Amino acid sequence: MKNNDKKKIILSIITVLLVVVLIAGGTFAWWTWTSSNNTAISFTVEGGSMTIDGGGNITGQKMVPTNNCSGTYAIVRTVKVTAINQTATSMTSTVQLDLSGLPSALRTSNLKYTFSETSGCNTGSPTGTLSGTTTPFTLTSFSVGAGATVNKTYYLYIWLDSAETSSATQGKSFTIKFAGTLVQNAS
Amino acid sequence: MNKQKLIGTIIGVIFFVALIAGATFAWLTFNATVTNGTYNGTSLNFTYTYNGGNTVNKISILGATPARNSIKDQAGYVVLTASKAANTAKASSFNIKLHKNSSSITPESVIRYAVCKGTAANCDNTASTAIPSTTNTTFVAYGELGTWDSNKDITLYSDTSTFANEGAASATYYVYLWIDGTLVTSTNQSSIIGKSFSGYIHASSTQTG
Repeated sequence: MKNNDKKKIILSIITVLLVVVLIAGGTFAWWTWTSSNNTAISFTVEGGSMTIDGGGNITGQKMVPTNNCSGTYAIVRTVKVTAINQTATSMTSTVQLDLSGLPSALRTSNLKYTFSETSGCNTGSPTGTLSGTTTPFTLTSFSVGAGATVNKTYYLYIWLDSAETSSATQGKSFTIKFAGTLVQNAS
Repeated sequence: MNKQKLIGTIIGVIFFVALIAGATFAWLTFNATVTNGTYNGTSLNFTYTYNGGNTVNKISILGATPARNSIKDQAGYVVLTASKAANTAKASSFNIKLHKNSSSITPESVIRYAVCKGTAANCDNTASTAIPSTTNTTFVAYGELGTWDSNKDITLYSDTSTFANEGAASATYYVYLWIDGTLVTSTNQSSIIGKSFSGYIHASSTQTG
């Protein structure tokens, strides 16, 4: 290879490299400055929690039409709910019953309940009935302020009212259990 | 002949030594008369007075375009001030960067940021105003942090105008950080709630000619 050819090749390579550097936005060593103090950004994402203490599991609860909403044939429980909101936005806590284990035959308007922060029940003035098909069924909801912890005690009574006469409600197994949600309100 | 060679060699060596030593063979020297040829000057500086603001140790789970006071309540924002003096060179950019030491939050895209450039009047005092979901004249950057490697930076905002001229200039930047609650679901919240991020905000700039 002649010397002139070698020079041409070398010059071509240098030119191509320069063009590549320019296209890539390369800089040719200006002064630079970098801050000497760093601002620490360290956090743990905080949310919330909700616990429901249903007052104890029940196995083999017997149920018959009754006029005693706190007697042997009624479900009677003291329920404790704790909702903790660690965020800066208020939340809504909702206490529910999961009725997916309640057969349709028992979903009668005579399956009544009382759910209250006050102890005691009255068959003549229940909170409502579990006749609907909606599950989970909302018993109550309350607000939990930003950074707040809310403790609630409720008294639950579920009974088959003495007005029930249908034999379709007889011999039916059921499961009722608590559920709940803690949802952050729109900011 | 040998004698001539010897003398020639000695003279050659002397010349060589004199050349190496930088000696000249001028016995007469004259100083030039110089007019209009004195130049004074100084090299400019390239440094900033920088304040990185307070640390962030708590951020909130908020909506997509949260109110600024929702973030401020949790101190999830940083106020940065930067200025350069009169005798400083112009800069191609002033870059605000977030360095990640480590993160256990998954996905990291739930972490949102916004940068407001301006005064307290238009970035801070109207605290009940929502942070816009797009950039504008004051909220100059907005987005999700995305995912990037630990021990590396991402640039939150690159200011190419404030310090683009030689001389004095200053700016204040408000950097807001929060968790986009609309992206937290029942299926991914266990990998977000209670998880941590650790890093720091810093700044850099490059001079331009």
